[in-house]
Order: sequence, then C-alpha cells, then structure tokens
Amino acid sequence: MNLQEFQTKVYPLKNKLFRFAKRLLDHTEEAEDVVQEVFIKLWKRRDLLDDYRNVEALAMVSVKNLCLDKIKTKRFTVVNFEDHRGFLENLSDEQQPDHDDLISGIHRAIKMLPEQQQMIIHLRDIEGCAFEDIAEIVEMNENAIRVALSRARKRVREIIANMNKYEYQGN
Amino acid sequence: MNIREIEILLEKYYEGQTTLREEQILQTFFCSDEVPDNLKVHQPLFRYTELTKLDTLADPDFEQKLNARLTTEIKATPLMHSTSLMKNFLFIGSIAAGILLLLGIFFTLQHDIFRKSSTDALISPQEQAYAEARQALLIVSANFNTGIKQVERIQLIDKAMKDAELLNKFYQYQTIIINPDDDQKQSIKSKQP
Repeated sequence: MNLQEFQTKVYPLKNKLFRFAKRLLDHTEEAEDVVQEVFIKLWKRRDLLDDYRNVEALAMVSVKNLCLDKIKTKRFTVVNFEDHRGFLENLSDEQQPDHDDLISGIHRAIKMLPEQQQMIIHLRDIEGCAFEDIAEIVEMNENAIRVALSRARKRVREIIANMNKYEYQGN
Repeated sequence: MNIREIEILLEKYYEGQTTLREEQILQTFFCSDEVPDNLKVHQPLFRYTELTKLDTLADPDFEQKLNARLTTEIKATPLMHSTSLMKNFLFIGSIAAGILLLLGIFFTLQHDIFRKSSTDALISPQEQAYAEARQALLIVSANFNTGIKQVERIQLIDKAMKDAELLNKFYQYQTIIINPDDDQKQSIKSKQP
C-alpha cells in the first residue's frame, strides 16, 4: 500500500477513530494524538494492510488498546466536561439543543459506565456498527455484547430519570 | 409509524434486540417534533447520539502533519526494527542476569544452610530428651534380664527351704511315733491345765 492508497483508504476513518478515542479519554487533544499514533502504526504495517479484511476494525482495536493503556498508566482521572460543552457551542443555532443540561448529563452518564459498556454503546448508538464488527473490536461474542448494550442503555435511562426527578424537586 | 409501534421498538431497544434499521427509525422519530409527552424522557439520549455523530477531528492541519510524519517514517522503518531488536535483547539479557544472580545467591547460601541444619537446627529439645530417655530405658531392660537370673536362684533356695520344713515336720512326727507315751503325756499334760 503506497501513501496515496493509504490516504484514500485509511484517512477517511479519522473522525470515527477520533470520536472513539475521545469517548474513552474524554479529552480532545489526547484523542487527536491517539489517532495520529494509530495511523503511524498502521502505516508501519502497510505491507500487511492489503490482507486485512477489515482495516476499520483493526484501526478501532488499535485505538482501543492505546486508550486503555493511557488510562491505565496515566490514571486518566481529569474528566473534561467543558470539552463536551465546547463542542456543542461549535454547532449552528438550529443544531443547538434546547435542553443542554440533559444532553451533557447523558455524556456524563455514559462516562460513568464500565469501559467495556462505554465502548459498546458508543459503537452501536453513535457509529451504528453491526454486532459482528463490535465483536471484533471489543473481543466479545455477540450475545455478551447484546447483554452489555442492554445494561448500558438501561443504566443511562436510569441516570436520566434520576436527573429529571432532581430537576423537578429543585423547581 | 404509530406510537404503539415506537413503544414496542423502544422496549426492544433497551433489551439490545433492535436491528440497525429499527434504531434508525427510533432516531428519526425522536429527532422530529412529533414526540408525545409520555415518550419525551427518551428523547435526550437520541438527540445526544445524533449530535455526537457530528463531532469531528477539528485540527485542519492534521492530514498535512500526518503526511509529513509518514514520509519520514518510510526512511526510519528499518531503524525502528533494529531498536525493537535491541529492546528484545536487553529484555532477555536482563532476565538472564536476574536468574544468574539468584542462582549465585542460592549456591553460596545453600552451603551454610545445609551444614547448620545437619548438626543442631533439626533436633529439637523434645527429640533430644526422648533419645536420652530411650537410651536409659534400653540399658535398664538389658540389665534387667541378668538380674532376673539371680532372683531365680533365690526361688530355688525358697523351694529347698520348704522341703527342709517338710523334713522338719517329719522328724517331729517320727519322735511321736517312736515315743508315743512320752509325747502323749507331754501333750496331755500340756492340754490339761
């Protein structure tokens, strides 16, 4: 695979990889670094890339491993909520959500889930991945993924319900 | 799509049983303005996923920087290979050195440990006491049998003494038989008073 092929085949994955990394690290710059690192890694193995059936899944697995390593070594505890709000401000007025608090509440709710569930709910609900692709990325079987996904969605629903309750109590 | 169908889909959604198509239907439904009040609770989640999809890697120079990195990487690749080999060598070498060090310590200490343990470390005071008591009892039991022989001889003497007593009695009766009067008189006399 030469550089031009690499640019047309692998570069388009950058936003997807970036969102996945940002989901796990909750930090824009760190996520960008991870994407760059993954591209360099893939480039080093460019002679093998043609044989891979699913380069996208391979890239996602690399992102996952790098992010989990970073979380483990750095104890990545700085939770950057401002970052998320920042991204919402970038959107045009009509995209701007009417209940901003609830939307960023969901972001926090997902952040509270175990990493495995965060990855699964992200891949399914935001990226719209098929179960077989998710299975390849998180290295679990489809049934276990369905169970984890159900748990994650219900947990988020629960947290949102609680937030609504407190809001009404506050008013 | 009527509300009942949406409710069924929602149920399936929370069980993780919806297909991608069905999730798309839910997505478009909840991003529209026709969401009834009783389903409004679920709206934020679908709004959130819709918005998050729009998040992109914002750095405009990203691809340019990456191109520069990748072209330098082409030249650097063989070098990377050798450093990883070096790393491997260092890794294995450090393990080998560690094992050698441990072996060295083991063999030097082993000498001392075994010598100590063979003399005193293994025998506890109780064991020592037991051994001594056993020794003493063995001596007693060995000499006990020789003593018994002497006792047996005394028993012989005892037997002989009984025979001698019998003989003595016989002599008494003999005098009575030979001199009955004498003796009878004597015995009557002795009984009379």
